[in-house]
Amino acid sequence: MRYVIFLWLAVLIGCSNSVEENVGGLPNIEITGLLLNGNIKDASIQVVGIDNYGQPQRNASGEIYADRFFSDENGRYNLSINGAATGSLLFVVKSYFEEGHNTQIRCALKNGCLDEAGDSVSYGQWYDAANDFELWAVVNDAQSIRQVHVGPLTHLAAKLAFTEFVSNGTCSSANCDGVVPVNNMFTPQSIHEANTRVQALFNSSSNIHGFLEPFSPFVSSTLDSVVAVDGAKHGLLNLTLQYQAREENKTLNQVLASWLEGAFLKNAGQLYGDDQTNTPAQWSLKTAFTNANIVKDELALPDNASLTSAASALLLIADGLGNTVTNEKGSNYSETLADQIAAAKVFVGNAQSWIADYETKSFGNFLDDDTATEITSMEAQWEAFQKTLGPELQSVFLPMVQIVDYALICTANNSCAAGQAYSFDELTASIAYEANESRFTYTADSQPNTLVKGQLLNFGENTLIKSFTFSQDIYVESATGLAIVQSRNDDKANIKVYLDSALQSGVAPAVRRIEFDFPKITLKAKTAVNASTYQDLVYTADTATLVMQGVKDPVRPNEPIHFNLESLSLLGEVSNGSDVLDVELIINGSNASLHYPALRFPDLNFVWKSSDIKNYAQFDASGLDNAEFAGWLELPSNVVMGETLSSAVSYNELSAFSQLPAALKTELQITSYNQFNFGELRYPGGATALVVYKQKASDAKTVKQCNEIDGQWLCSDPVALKDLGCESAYGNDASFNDDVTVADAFLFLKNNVNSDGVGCIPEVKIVGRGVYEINYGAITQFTDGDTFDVTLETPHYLGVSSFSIRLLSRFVDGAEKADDTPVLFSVIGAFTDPKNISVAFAVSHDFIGFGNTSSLGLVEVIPYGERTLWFAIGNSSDAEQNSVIYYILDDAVSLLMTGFDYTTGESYHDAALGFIRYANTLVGTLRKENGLYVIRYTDGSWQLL
Amino acid sequence: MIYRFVIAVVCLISNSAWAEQTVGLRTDVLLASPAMAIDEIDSSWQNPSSGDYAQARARLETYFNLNSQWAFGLEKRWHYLLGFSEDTAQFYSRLENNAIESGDYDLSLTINAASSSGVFAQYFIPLSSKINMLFTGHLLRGERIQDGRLSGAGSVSDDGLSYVWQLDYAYDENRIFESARKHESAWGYSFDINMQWQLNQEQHVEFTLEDVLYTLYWDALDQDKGCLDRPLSADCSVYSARDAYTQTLPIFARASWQYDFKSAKASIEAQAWQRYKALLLGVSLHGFQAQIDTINEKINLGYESSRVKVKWGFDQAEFAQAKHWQLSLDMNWPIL
Repeated sequence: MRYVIFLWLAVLIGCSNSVEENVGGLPNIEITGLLLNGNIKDASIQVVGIDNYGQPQRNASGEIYADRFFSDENGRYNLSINGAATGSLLFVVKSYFEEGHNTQIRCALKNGCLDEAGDSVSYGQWYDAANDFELWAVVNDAQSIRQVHVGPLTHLAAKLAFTEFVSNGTCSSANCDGVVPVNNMFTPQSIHEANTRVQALFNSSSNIHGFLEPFSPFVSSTLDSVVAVDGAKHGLLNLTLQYQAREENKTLNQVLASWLEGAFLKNAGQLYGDDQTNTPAQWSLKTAFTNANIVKDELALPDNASLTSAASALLLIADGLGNTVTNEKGSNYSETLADQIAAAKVFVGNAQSWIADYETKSFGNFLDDDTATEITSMEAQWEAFQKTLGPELQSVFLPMVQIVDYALICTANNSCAAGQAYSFDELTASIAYEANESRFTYTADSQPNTLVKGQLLNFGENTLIKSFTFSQDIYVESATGLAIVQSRNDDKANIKVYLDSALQSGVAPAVRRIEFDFPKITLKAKTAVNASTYQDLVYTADTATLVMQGVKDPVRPNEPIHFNLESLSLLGEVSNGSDVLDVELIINGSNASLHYPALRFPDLNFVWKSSDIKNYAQFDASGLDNAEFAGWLELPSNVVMGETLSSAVSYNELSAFSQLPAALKTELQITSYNQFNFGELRYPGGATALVVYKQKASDAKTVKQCNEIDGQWLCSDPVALKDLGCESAYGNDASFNDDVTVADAFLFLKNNVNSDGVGCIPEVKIVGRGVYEINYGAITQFTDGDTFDVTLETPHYLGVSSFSIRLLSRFVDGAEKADDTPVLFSVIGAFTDPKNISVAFAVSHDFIGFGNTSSLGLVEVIPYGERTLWFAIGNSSDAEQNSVIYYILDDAVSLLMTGFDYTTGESYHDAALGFIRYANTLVGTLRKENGLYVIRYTDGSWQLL
Repeated sequence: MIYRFVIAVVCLISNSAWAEQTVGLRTDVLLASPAMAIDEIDSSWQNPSSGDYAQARARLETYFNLNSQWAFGLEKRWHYLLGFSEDTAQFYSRLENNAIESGDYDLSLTINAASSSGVFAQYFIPLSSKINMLFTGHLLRGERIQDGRLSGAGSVSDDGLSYVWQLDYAYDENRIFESARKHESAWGYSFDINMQWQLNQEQHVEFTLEDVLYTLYWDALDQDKGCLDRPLSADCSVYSARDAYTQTLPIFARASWQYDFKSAKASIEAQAWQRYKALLLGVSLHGFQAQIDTINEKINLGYESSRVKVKWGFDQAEFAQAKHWQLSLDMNWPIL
């Protein structure tokens, strides 16, 4: 009974067909929106009620009648209508040139526009609208409306809704071309059907266009919600109106007429995919989508992921359109509450089965049959691939690493030509050196196909950075597989090695950092160990970079350097013949400079236990505490929580400037002094110091604060000693006088506590371990040679500042045609420490692009598709709460639900976890009651999740 | 108000009474839970025994014997009848203890519980020299109610849990969601009938029916009716409504046969109350009684005199482990 959580949000339209007068003093309904992407100013806008006969309200002269409002300089209108208004509303935008108004249109194309007289207008310039310019939008359910954006697409839908198509008697069972439009009436059904039909035709996933704020190049985008991609599409398609007017030297009205009467209504509310029948060709979907892509290129806005996704999605659709008229149908409008709730319950059932799919990884309910079969087949092959090659994956890369290691050692020993003794993992391996080419060649007798060649060079003028550049494609064959690394003249594979110190004979190279850069890697798994044939599945990474950071533990300087993963980027694919699965793996580590012993070294073998995730999503008490992160988020080095390091911090003084380390002298830039005092708190890996001095006897004392890490000093600008302090100035302290010493200054800093009783130097950060509290005890003065214990407060974790794993299917069917329903699997997130974790999981059927979701706070991107199941989990030490966000999309219906579980008892949270809406009408809520997740619908019914 | 009225009537009648008049205190408590120890009914039901019910009833009465025919009194009563299939007990136990196994589970759970208080009038009818009848009418005010049925089928497999359950639940406090209690009101009635037949000098037979037609009419009550399922389907949901509601509770029946051996007596007694059944074999000597419940493995010990009757029944002396427990007490004092 107590199962997974989620909730619904239906996005359709609903209401009765009447306009009622306000008799009860209800607050007015405030509505806002953009006109043509915000590019029509001072235009008249009227919101007209639809009466019981389906007609817009008109005055005695037959003119549409309603209060008149006007758009502002940003093309936005704000208006109020009667708070008691219900039913459908028609939004009529008209140019208006009376009473001092002057409706103008802004050119939104970077390469300029033509005004209504055919003259050129530059980008951003306003020009007069035609006297009869008019745009419509029509929506249901006045009570639920808060914003309506009016543009050419809403105009198409409104005109269609006002037009009923009846057969002229020539319909057959297979063909119904013979329909004629009859000017008729608005009905809730016709409005909803027309809006959702246009929504489907123009590929909006999340909402009808009237409710989708369109992108505008003049407004810093507020499209930071899940509708960003759809908003971008809407904006680009609207802009094609101006684009087409410019390209065809027409007025906007002429273009609009060619869209509406010349194509959309002519085809009974349908459009040609790609009209190759008529001359001249009708405006078609392909024309619209292609033009939208051109407009996007013309805008050339950098870093707008939504625009890029939108344009590429439209272009992808355009490529598949043919010379046929569409047969798109909008969805039916459920007018009664019972129907709306029934629809919500169907959605709830579907979504629950998808959630179950996600848990069982079967996807039988979520995916279409073909795709599910392909995925299952690919999964089986991938498992076989991993089973064979996985355990020995290192072996195909080891020769590349060992040839670099060999080159470094023999260069240090000056023994490359003579031959360097070296212990290879592959016993039959050897390295030859061509002195004239300075080239190393790795071969192995037992692996005749293995060949690794390259040169070790200095990188630039810095002899501490070595670059091993591979001379030709690398082939490494092992018992289980084959790795081919491409290295061509225009893009060489290379491994960069950063040294701590110059190479010395007889001393192991002090490698501090390694960077791998491989243009292309191909991996093949053998059909069996030592077989000569390979499996059909091939993994290819087009760009592979890996950065490893070598670190030492300053508390244990004799421990060997260990290498942590700093970043990894593998952008590639898994292919099996024509079936391709794009694979992206990007990991950026955090705290990679921490020292981890080998036993605690994180690997890339992520073990996500679905039970852990599920428990977390249900706010199970254990949360992610038991989740395995494959070694990530382990404590560094030999750190133990709460540990105390004995005498780890010492207080030292130097009385003469000459005694300072050379690096500090250089950093201090003190050329002469009259008095000089130096004191430091030294800890493993560094020190924090005060330098108190006078340059002349008449000067007041000055102080510099300096920090040292690994021998490198950095000092602050000098300040007067009396101004020293973090809570208050030393000069205000009773103990301050001109004779105070550096030890006195340290004592002041220790005692200069804030309201929490914390002084200025309460803790020390030991690189590779964590932040430790300094146990000063009850000292009354600092004396040279004092030592203090430190106790661990916060360990440093080797975490992941960001990671992204994405799989996108590009399968083909039996006829070698591309599957038109690509599937995207995505896992993205970060975990920098156990208290700051955010992970988002998504699977999207018929993936079309990404939307930006920064407003949701946890992660950046939600994929769009015909169906999307997405959820994110996260915790935050700042907010002291665990949170879950669900976003579920089923064609036109979507759910966005946010749940929180406060981790402290101080906060009480009993609000509904989410709301179910159908056509913007609230039909239910999801709550947690007595540990049960219950959906309560507005008709009094409820269901348990 | 009604109590004052009854007391006034009793006082008026008592002034004209001619026989011995007594006042008394009577209580009768029966707790029976063969599947689980009474004290652990609210637990996670680890290792339940066989058994398909947990039932409890209690009455607390003060009464006034006006004369040899009439008696009047005040009462408070509690009834709790939880019925379930053994499959349900096993399913619940495994679910709560995270040890659920794959399989199909037919589930059936009923709850019928009420508490009420009221007044009663008792009339003694001597039908013949050997047969007497005692008729008691109760007028009641309902105070608490839980009345519901949950039935259906569930299945546990590797794919998860699935079920379709029908729910019909009326309540003053929703125990599914632990909602706050509402103070509901109801009125009702019930009757008790007792017949005693002296077959001969040695043999005596007695029949008792309590809670006959026990009915409570609730003015308005929250009710949940419908179905629950997993996976969810659009046509399966529960509807919550508030409406008038009629609650009925089952009869408690008792029949006994007693043989008098002059100084000692032997008896056989049968009891039935919905799923609760008991068959008691007993002896008594100089007022002291001992009975063995052959069905519930319970022992009853008691003492009876003209002024006091007391009986204590148990299957385990320690209450925490007992599955059956009973206490009856009847004391009266002459007031004139």
